[in-house]
Order: sequence, then C-alpha cells, then structure tokens
Amino acid sequence: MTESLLIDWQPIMLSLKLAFVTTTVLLLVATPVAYLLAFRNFRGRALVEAVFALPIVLPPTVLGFFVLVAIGNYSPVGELYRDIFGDTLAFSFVGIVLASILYSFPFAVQPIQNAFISVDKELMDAARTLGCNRWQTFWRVLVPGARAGIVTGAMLSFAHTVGEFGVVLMVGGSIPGKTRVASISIYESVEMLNYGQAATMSLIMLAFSFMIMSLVYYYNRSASRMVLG
Amino acid sequence: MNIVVIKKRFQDFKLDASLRFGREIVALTGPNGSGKTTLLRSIAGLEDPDEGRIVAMGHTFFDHQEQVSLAPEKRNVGYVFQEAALFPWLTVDKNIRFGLKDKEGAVAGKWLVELCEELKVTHLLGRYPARLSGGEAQRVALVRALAPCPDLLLLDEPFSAVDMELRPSVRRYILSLQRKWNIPVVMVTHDHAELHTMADRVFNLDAGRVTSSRRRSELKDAPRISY
Repeated sequence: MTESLLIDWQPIMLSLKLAFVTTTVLLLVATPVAYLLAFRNFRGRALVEAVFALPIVLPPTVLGFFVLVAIGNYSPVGELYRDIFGDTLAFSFVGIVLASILYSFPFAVQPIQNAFISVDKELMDAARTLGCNRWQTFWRVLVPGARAGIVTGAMLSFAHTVGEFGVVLMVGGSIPGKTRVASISIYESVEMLNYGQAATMSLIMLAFSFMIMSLVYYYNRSASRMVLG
Repeated sequence: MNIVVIKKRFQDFKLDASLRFGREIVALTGPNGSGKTTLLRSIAGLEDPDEGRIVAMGHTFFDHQEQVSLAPEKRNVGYVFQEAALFPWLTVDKNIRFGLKDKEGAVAGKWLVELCEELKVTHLLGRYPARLSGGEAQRVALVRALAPCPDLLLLDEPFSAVDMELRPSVRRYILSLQRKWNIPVVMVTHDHAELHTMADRVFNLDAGRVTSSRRRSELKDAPRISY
C-alpha cells in the first residue's frame, strides 16, 4: 500500500474550472428558459418541464451514457465536432462541460423560474409606466427582484457540478489534467487504498460545499431581510 | 378631449365602458369588481382591450380598428398603484429617480425637491420601502409617478393608506399640480371627501358599465377646498 498525504491539487482545480464554466454557461442558458417557463404558456409546456427535470431523477450513469452516445466519435455531433476542432468531444473537457450543463440544468432553472414567478407583477407594471420597455424591465426589475433565486441557482449549479461523479466518469473517463476531477480522483485514491489522499481531498470538498451552502443561506436571509424589513 | 371607449371580456366579467373628459380630475367610483382598475390599467397600456379606442392628450394610445396599441412606456402616464408597488431593493431616493431620464440633474432640480417636501417624503429618501408605513409608501409612490412629469395621471385609491391628518394637504397639492400642469387626472376612489373636494367629474361604474356621469357641481353638498 502506497499512502501519500500530499494533496494533488490538479483534480481540485479542474473541478473548480469545470464548475465555473458550467455555472457561467448555465446562467446564460437557464435564465431565458426560466423566463419562458415562468411567463409564457405554450403547447407541450408540461412535457418540456418534465424533460428539463429529468436529470434530477435519472441515475447519473444513465444520463452519462446517453450523453456519451450522443457526442461519441460516431455520432453526428461527435463527427461534426471532430471535423471542426480536430479532436474528440467525448473524453474531453468540453465534453464534460456539456454533460455537466445537462446534469445541473434543473438545479439552475427551477430556482430562477420560481424566483421570477414570485416577483410581484405590479412592480413590472410600475416599471413599464415609468418608461421601461420589456427588456429594461427584465434587467431593472425582474433580475434584481429574483436575485436571491438567481444566486441560489448559480450556487447550486456550482456545488452540484463540483460534486459530480457518474456523469463525468461516463463521458470523460479519468484523464489527468483533462477530465479527472476531484470526485473521480477520490474514488481512485480509495481504489488504490490511498485513504490519506482520499480523506484530505474529501475534507477539502466537504469544507468547500459547506462554504457554498452557507453563502446561499446567508445571502438569501439578508435579501429577504431587506424586502421584509 | 380625452376619449376612453373600451370593451374587454374576462371569463366571467365584461367591461364595456365609455368615458369622455377634459383636462380635469375625473373620479371613478363603484363597487369592487366593477372594472375601475381594469379601466385604469387599459389607459396605462397594462391591459389591451378587446375593442375600442383610447385617446389622451391628443395621442392615440389604442385603436382596435386601426390596430394601434402604444406600449405603456411610450404613453407618458403616471400611475399610482393601490399597493404603492415600490421596488423593495431600492431606497426611496432611487425609487423616485427610477423613471427619470436624467437622474442626477432632475433630482437636483428645484421642483423635485419641492415635490418631496410638499408630500413629506424628504426625510424618507435614505430608507428602504420595507421601513415605510403604508401612508409613507403611497406618498413616495405619488412622488415617483409625478417625477417624470406625466401627461396623464392615473391614481388607484392613492390616499387610502395616507394618515388622516396628512390627506387634506396631499389632496390640495395634487389639485394645485393638476391646475398648474393642466393635465387630466383619473382617480379611483371610494372616499366621499375626495369626491367632493377634488373631482371635477364623477363616473360611476357597475358590473363593467358606466351607470352615471356627473359634474362635481351636481354632487350634493360639494364644497371645494381652496388651494
């Protein structure tokens, strides 16, 4: 048994990078989707919402398997990506970003959607009568009014991505510096009976997750204090 | 002449109202659910009528036949909501500046300072709406609606939460401002004092229809407050 307590920072940094990129893209994609789900009625809406919520109930390996099939080398998406970038999409950082976005999608959309719904409609009406068009109303009223939900969505997506295992393993494997994120590294350390390394990295992940959740609750409390007085 | 002729159908309610008024204070009265707020919201552009025509201060806001529907932000209408609708994440000062194009310049403007003083909100400027009483919030909402100098003022029970002792001075100020700016004011009210002291014309609505239209002089015992 080779036991090393030396912390391997590379998987931790890769996890943080993956979470940061995923959260940024998710905020850009999830916000308009949440807006549509909050304010627009359209045919098949229940079906769309069910599809978006699937990652919550699907086993990560199942989702990972579908993503792997969809972006694999012989899939149209995989082939197109290889033609353009000359690299495979599966087992790459971009591949695990894509999988992470799908996996964390409902964790971003649902809090933002709920926050949009809870914004008092009269505030948006007031903004319109004060000279704001729809776009300005979105930025000046809806986003600030829903900021607690947006922050919650971002934090949950970030934390959820940092904690990913099954999806990333299926889609990215365990390529050091490329797809071997902290959770996979911990698993491999345990497999190699390197409990010291696994424990150290697990404690770092635990502290990190605790910090994120504390921030979410602290922010939401201070936001609601401002509104409720 | 301002013209509001609208029809709007909801599931179990039909609004079919016709109003004509000048640059005067118009009061809308009637039982709850008679369509008063829907009428105000239609004038502001927050509801699209099914049919009809809305012309105010020479501008066509809505014309079903001509397929005209001016966006609310282009109508230059001041609207005071029943629940004040102040933005809770902004201070009173920022709420008031919200609708101003030239935020810094306008706040420095003498008249806005005077407006804040007249409606007794100057001491509230640094507070958040959660720290205001109902009456204070309504006064701030009034200042916010007046700040961009609207061409038409819509008030949905604007004084219902204002302290009794402050009401006469707030009414007086709105009256004097209406005369000075020479703009129409449409006000929903259940308050007899407001009807008798402010309204030039009173429309009574019931079940979505205008059941009577009277000038102030036709109201019984209608003293006019001086300003």
